[in-house]
Amino acid sequence: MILTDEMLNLYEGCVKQAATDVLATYGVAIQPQDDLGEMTSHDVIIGIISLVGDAELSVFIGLPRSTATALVAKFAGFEIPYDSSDMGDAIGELANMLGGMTKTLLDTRGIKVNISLPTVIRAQDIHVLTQRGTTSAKIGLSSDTGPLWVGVVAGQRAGFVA
Amino acid sequence: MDIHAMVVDDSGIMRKMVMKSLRESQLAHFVFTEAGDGVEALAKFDPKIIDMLFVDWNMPNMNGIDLIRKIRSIEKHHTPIVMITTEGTMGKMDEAMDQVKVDKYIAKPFRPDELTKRLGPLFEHLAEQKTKKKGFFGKLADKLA
Repeated sequence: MILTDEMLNLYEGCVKQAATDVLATYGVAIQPQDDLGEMTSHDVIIGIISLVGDAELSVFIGLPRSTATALVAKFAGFEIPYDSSDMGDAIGELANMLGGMTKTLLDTRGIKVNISLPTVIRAQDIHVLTQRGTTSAKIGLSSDTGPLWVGVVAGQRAGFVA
Repeated sequence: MDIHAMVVDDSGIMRKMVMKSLRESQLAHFVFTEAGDGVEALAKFDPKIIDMLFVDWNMPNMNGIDLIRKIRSIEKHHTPIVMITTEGTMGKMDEAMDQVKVDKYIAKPFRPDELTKRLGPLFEHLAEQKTKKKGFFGKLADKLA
């Protein structure tokens, strides 16, 4: 089945719901925020995880330095320096949970996927270049720990809506 | 009750979070051994010392299921094992619990109070087992004396 706008909306909705559910566990409430600007203008850390099966997706969570530090302190229960390897570990776990929750939500719509191990990138001035034949959606979110982004890049194998 | 628990997870932060949650749960007085994957866990596993394990599913080198399968094949007495996994692999948990005899599973993300609620009965059982074991060795020590 070829990827349609309806499918991309479904993926986007699942990722947003997954982020809401995962972060709510740690007492972080999020709301959509349209005018967050680009991730490229920040010192940013990004966790990426792939979901492959009936659909081909990459799901990511991107956090500016200040959000990452505040959010991970809530998530882990203790402070973690932004420049430490533990920060990468924590964002990897967040990506893992985001991917796992997205997988569960897709499963309820009849779309079966498996999740990969997460990848974490910490950098400045990032430009995300998607591949030809993929479509992406990025959602800006605000929270009491600061702004963040979640998003999904979808390949043409699009799954089925139950 | 003193419990020597092994926490197996490739994420150092997740190991710290599990250990912190367990300490805060007051389910027992914990001593911990950490391992970053199944291979390291197997090398460190001594059934005479380790009372129970907390094992992640997705890990490099040797995943949680393969680790538990190996432990079950070498142990003489059942070691309680709690599997910690993401929501995404929850569907496979029933199968895993039957196949390799996982005692409990917890889905990430979890709150410390969930840990206490879900693991309470397991720790009550473990306390009974340890009391019985202590009784046996106590009697043995008396006879030897």
